[in-house]
Amino acid sequence: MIFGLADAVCRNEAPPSLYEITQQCRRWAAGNLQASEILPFRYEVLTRVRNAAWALSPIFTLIVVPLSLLSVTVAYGGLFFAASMAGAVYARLVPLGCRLLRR
Amino acid sequence: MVDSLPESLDDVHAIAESSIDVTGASVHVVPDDFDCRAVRKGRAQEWARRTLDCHKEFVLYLDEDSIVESFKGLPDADIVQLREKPRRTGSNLSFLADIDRMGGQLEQRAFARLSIPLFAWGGGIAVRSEIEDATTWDRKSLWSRIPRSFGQRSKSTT
Repeated sequence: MIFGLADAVCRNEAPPSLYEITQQCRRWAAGNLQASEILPFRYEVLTRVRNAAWALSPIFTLIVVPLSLLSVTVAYGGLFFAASMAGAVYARLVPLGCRLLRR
Repeated sequence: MVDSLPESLDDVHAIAESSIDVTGASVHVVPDDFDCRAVRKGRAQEWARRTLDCHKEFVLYLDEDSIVESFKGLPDADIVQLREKPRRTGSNLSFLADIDRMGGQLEQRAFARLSIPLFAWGGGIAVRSEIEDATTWDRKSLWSRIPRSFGQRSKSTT
């Protein structure tokens, strides 16, 4: 089976509310968990990381957007920086894993 | 959706769960008594696969809200993922969350690089007809509280 990625772009409506996007992510993540049993272990790790990233996407928006708009001062700057760096590393795990698992 | 399709895609079918009017497409309603393991969109796609004669090399599946941009054919593959980009609807927050969920498309770019793609987006995906007939859509899928929706099916020779 050969998989391909087209150059064509489809613009699709985003879910109309954060509740709907949460439900969408929940549905997709549940399906992935069901299907993960048939995946090799190395793929299972990647899918779990990706599921967590999906779950965090509405939460991330709820936290970051108000903070950005209000220019809130972070009380524990060092801790916030460390958490941000951890988040950045976390966000890179999926593409890095994909690169490692290239055919 | 139909208005955004290039002229090369001239065999367009809308698969619906109730009667609707779609200009430029043949509309088909999935019978209530059609039964298979798949539900919702999977059920509609399975009904279409079994019912509609397809003599084209590929079947391209699009969601009803997918607007196709810059379609210039498909690469030589069995299953081809079209790139997804969000459109803003009523909520800026959900739009931003959707962008965050897509992660700048990094994951989708890896679709063809893994022997098993981590994620396939059904809103724009093309399947080689012989592969579709061999694998079918008749798989158990999750029941969810989403609104009843319909998939749209267009046949392509590209």
